[in-house]
Amino acid sequence: MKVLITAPFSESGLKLLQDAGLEVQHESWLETGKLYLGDKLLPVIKEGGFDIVIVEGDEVKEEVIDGANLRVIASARDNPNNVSISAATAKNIPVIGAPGRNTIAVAELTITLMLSQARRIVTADRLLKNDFMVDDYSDFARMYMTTTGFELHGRTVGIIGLGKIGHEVAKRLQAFGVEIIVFDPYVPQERLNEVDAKQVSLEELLRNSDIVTVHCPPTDETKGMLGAEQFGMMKKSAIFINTARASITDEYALRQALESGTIAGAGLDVFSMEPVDCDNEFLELENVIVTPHIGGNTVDTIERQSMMIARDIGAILKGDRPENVLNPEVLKKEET
Amino acid sequence: MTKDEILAQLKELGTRFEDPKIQRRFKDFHKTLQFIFPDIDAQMYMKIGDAELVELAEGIVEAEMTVTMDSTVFLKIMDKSESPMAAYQAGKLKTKGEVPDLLKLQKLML
Repeated sequence: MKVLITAPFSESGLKLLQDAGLEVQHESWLETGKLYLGDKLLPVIKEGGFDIVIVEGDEVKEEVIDGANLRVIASARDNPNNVSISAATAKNIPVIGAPGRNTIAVAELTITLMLSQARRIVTADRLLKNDFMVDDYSDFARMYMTTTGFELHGRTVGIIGLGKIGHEVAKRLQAFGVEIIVFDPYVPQERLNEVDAKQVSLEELLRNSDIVTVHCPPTDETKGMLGAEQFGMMKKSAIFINTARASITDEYALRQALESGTIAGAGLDVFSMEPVDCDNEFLELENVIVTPHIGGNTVDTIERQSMMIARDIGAILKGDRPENVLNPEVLKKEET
Repeated sequence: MTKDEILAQLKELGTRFEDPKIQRRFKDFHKTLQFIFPDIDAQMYMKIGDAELVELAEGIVEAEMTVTMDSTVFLKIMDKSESPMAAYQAGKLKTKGEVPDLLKLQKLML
């Protein structure tokens, strides 16, 4: 059987697939710079005679699934919206995901953004790179004034959404001696206890946090959850961090809040317009750190997603149950 | 939403070429963008030439990019209450064309 991999994939993952007797063609989009949308992947699959595809952002929807004879579809994502699970299920094709592949990476980036904002790391770096010269002691004083930060110790951090990533963020924050408050209507008390956190209302969280960090999923319920009214509730000195999804905030209101000094600053990794480039409007604001959706972008994430997917494909080939199948009903059909 | 209202919104979209960032991005770009609005059975096209709106009219023409969406979705995108990317991911906006062209289109529409 032949496997086409357009997702980033580690050497150890490739070896696992090869050891399972698969013929592997790895064309990571990071190297080809290609993104297959619509039916563009179909001729590639058909001409190459591929039985299995492993994608990251490429679309594997009805037109591809109906036109090809795939045995397995895998996506190196938590919850792939680029694969039509219903179309795959209709053809009895298991769809494999990679949940949690980037949990630690995103949690660590979140902490990085918090510390960078609290200690004004990017401000200091920008200052020095912009021909800052100390000709007088007053220049030195100005530099110190510009870069005066605050310690996390003793501060209150509000976490919106205590799912996998929010929980990992909370675990790491415990080391800094912060008070953790959480808004998550679905979290059990036990999970809060694990990170010594207190459940509060959204308003209470916004009014009392020195740092607010968002970790809830993009759903109809969370869409636009944080707008002008909510930013208005936050402390003027507060920092806002979003490494989850842009749709949770009203981006225009966020920009207004940052421009007007309603809140002190932000660390943002997600935007309504991606891929992010130099035209990103938040780059115009000195009090914002912009990163181009790199939350999960670590070698460790690639290694994790590769091994998760390779193991699951191996399991399917052996007739075992894969761990991360997104349409388990397909396996039930095979078992019966 | 009527066809005239859609045309007016598309004209508004054309004014975005005055933005220096959009001008830089669409420099030497000569392509046609076809819009299809199934809910009101309307088809419009926009010819772009070197960061300028060359022609905007009703009808179907040969185009390098095609965007299909309901007029209500288009209106939401225009008033920024919905991002093109979110509409695309939700299946409310469908596109045909090459990825680099579609990336430019996203910049124009947001």
